[in-house]
Amino acid sequence: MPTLPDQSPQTLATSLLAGQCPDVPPWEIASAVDWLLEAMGPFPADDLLAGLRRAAAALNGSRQFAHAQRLASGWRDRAALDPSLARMQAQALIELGSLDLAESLLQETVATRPAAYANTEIPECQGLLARIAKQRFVLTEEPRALASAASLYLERYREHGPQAFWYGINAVALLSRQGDGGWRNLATEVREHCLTRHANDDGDPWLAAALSEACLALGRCDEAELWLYRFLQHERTQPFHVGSLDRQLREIWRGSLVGSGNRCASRLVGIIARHRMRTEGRASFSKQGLDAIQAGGAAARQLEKVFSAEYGFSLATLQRMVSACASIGCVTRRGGERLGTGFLVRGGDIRADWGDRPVFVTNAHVISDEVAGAIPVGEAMVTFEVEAARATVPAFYRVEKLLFTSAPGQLGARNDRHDELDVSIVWLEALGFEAGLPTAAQLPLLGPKAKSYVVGHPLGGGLQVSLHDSLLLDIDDDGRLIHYRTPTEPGSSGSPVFNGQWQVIGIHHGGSSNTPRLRGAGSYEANEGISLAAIRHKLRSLQ
Amino acid sequence: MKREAAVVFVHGLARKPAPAKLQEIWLWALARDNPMPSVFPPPNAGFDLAMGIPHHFNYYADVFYGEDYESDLGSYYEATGAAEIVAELGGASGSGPMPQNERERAFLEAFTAKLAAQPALSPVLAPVAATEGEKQLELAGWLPAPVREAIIKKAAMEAYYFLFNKEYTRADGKRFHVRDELRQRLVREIEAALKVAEKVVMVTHSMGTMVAYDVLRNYPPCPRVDTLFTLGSPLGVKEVQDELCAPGLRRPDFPDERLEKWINIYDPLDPVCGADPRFASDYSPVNGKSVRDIRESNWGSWRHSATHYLAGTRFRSELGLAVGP
Repeated sequence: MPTLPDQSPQTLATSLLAGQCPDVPPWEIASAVDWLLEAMGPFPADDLLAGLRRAAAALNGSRQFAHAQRLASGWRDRAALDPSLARMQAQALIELGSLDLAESLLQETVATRPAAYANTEIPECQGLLARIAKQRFVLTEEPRALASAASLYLERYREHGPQAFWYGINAVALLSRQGDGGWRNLATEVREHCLTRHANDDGDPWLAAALSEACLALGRCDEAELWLYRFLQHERTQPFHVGSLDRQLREIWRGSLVGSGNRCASRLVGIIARHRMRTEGRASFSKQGLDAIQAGGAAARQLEKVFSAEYGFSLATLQRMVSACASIGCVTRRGGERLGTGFLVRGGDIRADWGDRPVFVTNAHVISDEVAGAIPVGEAMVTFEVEAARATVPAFYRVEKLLFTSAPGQLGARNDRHDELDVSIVWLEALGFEAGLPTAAQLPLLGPKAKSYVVGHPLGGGLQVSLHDSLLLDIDDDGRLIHYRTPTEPGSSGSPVFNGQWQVIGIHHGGSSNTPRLRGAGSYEANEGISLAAIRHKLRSLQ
Repeated sequence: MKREAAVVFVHGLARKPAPAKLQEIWLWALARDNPMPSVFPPPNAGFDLAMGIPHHFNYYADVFYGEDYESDLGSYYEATGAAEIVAELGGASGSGPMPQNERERAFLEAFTAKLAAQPALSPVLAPVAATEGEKQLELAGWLPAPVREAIIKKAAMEAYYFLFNKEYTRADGKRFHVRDELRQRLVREIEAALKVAEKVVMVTHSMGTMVAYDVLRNYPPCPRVDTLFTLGSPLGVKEVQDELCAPGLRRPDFPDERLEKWINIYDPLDPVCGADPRFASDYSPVNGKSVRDIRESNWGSWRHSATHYLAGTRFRSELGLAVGP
């Protein structure tokens, strides 16, 4: 949707109610959601419900899960449980990593047994419960969690038959992890059904994905590869679909780019990794991968072969990324939803009198007492995934003090006062480890080879680091806004933006396919970061 | 958005690759990490100007050689630098210098003799240290006589044409008054650099150092420059100083009016420096400012290589200080 420079919250909210998610930065969507929450009033009218359902669907569809969650939760706080909104809220919560909340909401919804939704929302809710169980297994590796997940998926498959092939294939994957011999017949059944359907109509990319998994299960590796390529090339396959299959292959099938693991699944994981490098300029790493890179040696060289110099990610690049990861954190709320990213730098690198103590930097639209949709300072918590993966109990750090905050302005809007920086800088309580990213003294020069890296934690479970290698598009004349081309990923707000030498030059805060250009008229697809230089400049002027 | 500093590079003698290629080579030489661990202890991190320092290349090889660009580029990337000698000798150079008067003749004779006397151009074992205080014996390299003579002849020719502002007729017939032309080109680059940065740092090599000193000392249109780096410079040769000395002075001096700092990086076995690679004591200080001589190894058999000078830890460290706030 085209973005007009002055879209009011009401206008944006109207689009949402019509089922369209406007292509605007997250803080503007937050304002639209605020407007809708106000419009609901204490006793929302029933005729608003249809529009709210469309809005939630649009937000989920655009991966704006935090906002979908807030909207659906707003209805829930004011009115009776709506199964449709509840299901969408649960989907959002799952994507945000808040499994417990999602689970209790789904169980509550299923328990009410609303007759009108018996064939629609309730089965979907049950399917989501199976997904939560699978995710719990991935996080805990407990056999009971595995058994629970396998049986939930199997129940769903039996209930709906072969046409619900996605339940079937998940059951196959989980049963095979259990070592339950029954998965072979099931895999054959799923494969045959999907082959027939695909022959009649190849419009659903998930058929190809399921076929790839089924062939993997049956040991037909070449065929699994063929179906994987078909899935990757399918015109309706989106990047997050690929991410989803990637996680399945790694987390359930134990495919890996390093070490042994399932050989066939590892081949498929390698194919996906190269595909994502080529099409998205990005690489994702599991904890295993990060450890291997850090250790160097044979496993690291294996990884380097995949992310080889021709794609710009050498082992040196990967190693610098791994050391940067220790300082990159997830911003969450008490319920555990992952709502943003941020990073540690030495305080003195931003403002001289902040000395050696690390400060945590994120967007104001992620942590703020004033910006719509942001986590209030008192409720925000930060977890450092690399540290968490190594510890037995993940540590959540609260904010000790808000040092500086500046609300966001409009995307692409020039501002020579070094205002509207969309940044919040805080001290965290009792940070138990040494960390801090190196910062650049200058902004890089622009040019055909000027590149930047953005490292973030994508949504959707497990320790994953996403490394984007993107082209620097432009820097405004005030040295405040940086434009680069990277795949957009909600939840990566607050990610550090690095120059080619792995020094932080800015903080990622949003983007769209219609970001106003920094020079001249018109707009283009671009992501935007606020430069560290502008933040430093502002802080100096306040001293 | 004006940057803190910009760098203006000025290349040296002999035929060069095409401008874009030469720039690419120099930037590569400066940016590469740990280029010579046996000479400069690691890490010796590279200096990547793309991280925020605009850079301009003053190019003038075409004055002498037109578009007959150097195309055998392998030498520039080689560690030894020996092959670079061969590369530098190639190319048409037009007719040889024809001195018009006694002064010119005397210059040519003395300059040529000084280069010929260089130990680096004869088979001598000489002590060489990568850094001050270390002792390490190294073969200085033996060059065959015709190669030696060609190098000397080329250096003398370029210096002569510049210092005496001779009119040079290029092989394709185009003519230049060499000193005028080179001065104008360099000042244009400095002015362009000052449009994008608050201050200019010059990194100059070989004959380029003569052009740089000349504009800073003797050419009023030249804007103020913050720091001058001279690498492998013949500015220590008395005959060169005599021609660049400001009128009315007996000795050359620090160009205080247009320059803040001057750092001279030299390898004692650099043949183009003549027998006088260090010259802090030759240039009279002005307002407390004087040249700083810093010794740094250029390693290999050809001690004049620009890419080797750009790899040095001390040079890189000083450059970092110069372009910083």
